[in-house]
Amino acid sequence: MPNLPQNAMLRFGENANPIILLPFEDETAVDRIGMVFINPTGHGLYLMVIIGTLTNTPTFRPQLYMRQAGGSNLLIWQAAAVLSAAGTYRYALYPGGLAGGSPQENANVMVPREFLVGIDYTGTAADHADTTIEGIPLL
Amino acid sequence: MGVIPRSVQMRWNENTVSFPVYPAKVLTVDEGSDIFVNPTARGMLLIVTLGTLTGTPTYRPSLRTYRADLATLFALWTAAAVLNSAGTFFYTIYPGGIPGGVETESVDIALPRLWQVYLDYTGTPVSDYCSVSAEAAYLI
Repeated sequence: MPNLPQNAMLRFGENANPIILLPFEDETAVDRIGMVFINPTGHGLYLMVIIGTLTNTPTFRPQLYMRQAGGSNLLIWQAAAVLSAAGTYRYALYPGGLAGGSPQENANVMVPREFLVGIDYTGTAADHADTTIEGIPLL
Repeated sequence: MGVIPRSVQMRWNENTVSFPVYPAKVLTVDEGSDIFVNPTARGMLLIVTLGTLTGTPTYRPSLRTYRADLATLFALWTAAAVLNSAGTFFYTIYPGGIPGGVETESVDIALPRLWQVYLDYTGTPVSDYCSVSAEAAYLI
């Protein structure tokens, strides 16, 4: 299982620096899922989803997964609405939610110890855009 | 990157005393504080003080944090109302909000590790101004 880079390790009992959860990629006609991250003591995340200039009409739906004991990934949250325009979108994932500051979506979820983020894509091979997901871990 | 002075450095998993975030100065431009490091707090009390006003300046506090490049700042929260009178105004910033007191605004966000207070100014600099300062106390 991949570990966090040393400079982005979620330390025990501390907030962490912002980290890249799903690296930049020109996404076309393929769902994407990132590497497993280990969250020892955090409760939630601010997810920053960055969509670049669109070619044609792709749509993107951010997702959060939990790694299961057998190695498969369990979907535990996905955005209520797809993203279909370039921009930077902030999602608040936290127990009870975090409504302040008008996030794109305020999700009442808890981030488990082993988690991954992904993007569900719709479109054809001609529909694509650059996508990245960053995270700000929160106690 | 600015950090909390050692005398008020946050100890692991403890509330802190109030510490200066933005030193008192006459403010006639938009300006951000240093970047502060929050190791273990979930929120904070943010206190903004305006001195006697000359003319009709307004100031709107916001809270910013970094993107993963540690260079791009973006606003997590912007105050609902501008400050346009002398006084001491405090904001409770905490997951779920803490609206039970006489705060200026209760803000339902989690405080990230890296943060900055930013003040947006409106007015004519030569005629609209006052002294502004800010301090904060972490809440675990």
